[in-house]
Amino acid sequence: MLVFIIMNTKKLILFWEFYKSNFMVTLACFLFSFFMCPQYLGLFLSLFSIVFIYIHKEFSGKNEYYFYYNNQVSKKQLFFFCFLANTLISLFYFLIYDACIGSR
Amino acid sequence: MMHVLEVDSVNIQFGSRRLLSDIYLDCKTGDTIGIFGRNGCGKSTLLKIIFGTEIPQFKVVHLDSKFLKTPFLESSVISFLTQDDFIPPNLTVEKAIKLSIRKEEVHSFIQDPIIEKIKKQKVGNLSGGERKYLHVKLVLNQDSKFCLLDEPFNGIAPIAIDWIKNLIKIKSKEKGIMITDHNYRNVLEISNRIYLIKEGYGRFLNNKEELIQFGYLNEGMLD
Repeated sequence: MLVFIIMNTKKLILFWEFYKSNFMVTLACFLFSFFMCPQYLGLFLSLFSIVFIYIHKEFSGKNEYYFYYNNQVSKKQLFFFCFLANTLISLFYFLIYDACIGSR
Repeated sequence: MMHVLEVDSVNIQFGSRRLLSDIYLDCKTGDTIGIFGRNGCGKSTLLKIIFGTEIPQFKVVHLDSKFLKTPFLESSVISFLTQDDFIPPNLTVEKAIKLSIRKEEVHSFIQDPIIEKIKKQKVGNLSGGERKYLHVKLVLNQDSKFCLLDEPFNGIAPIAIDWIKNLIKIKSKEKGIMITDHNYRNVLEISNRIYLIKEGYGRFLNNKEELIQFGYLNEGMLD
């Protein structure tokens, strides 16, 4: 999957556009987790945010999937990308968090 | 190059209601097939089944005798215009075009006076007619051998209907097109084959008068 993404720039842009269109949901999940349960931020962002994005999309823009289908991108691929991106963000967050705590 | 898309043995049932039974349909390059049927007879469902986003109890889809499990995921096979808008409203027209069609065709696509006028706008800010025109043009210009158009004339002004009919006529020379719309006069004007779904079964008709014979239209509605 990763190789497929790297090798196909147009698809990568499509994934990014999908991710961007759900950014507010991701941000809300990040902020909620950051203030309420920072120790589970990674889990919350990687897994639970996908569920929220899915629910948000099902209610607010279900038909938009067809834009991606017409470009040979499936729903599974879109959500896998979101999961991957959020996992990377949470890893990055913990690296910074560790570096900050470690430096004290 | 000539291509043939064949759909066979489509069976779909919702609960105890059988919607489509043993549907067979073939579409060749150059065909424009008008698919007719009353509300709720399964026209849109059939198009979704062909596209691969609706999973029936059984279906077989072949392109040039090659079996396709999920047609929409195959490169250069099929594109689909849904009844409702599908381009994300936050995208600009130009970006939606660049993401959807081949790089070498973007320039000529944008040279269209209607598209030229709206290219910098966000899709969500377009008028109904402009949005529909963009959707139809995008679907017809995607790198696909077959296009499925679900109600392309629905809810738009007569002038925009003419724009869309012209687009379909131009593209029908190089693609196979299946089109369903209750605006039967416009569909008949651009179709070279007629398919009717009635009581779950489908059949190709020999001429438009058979639409009356099979009860889709009333006497005098073709005059």
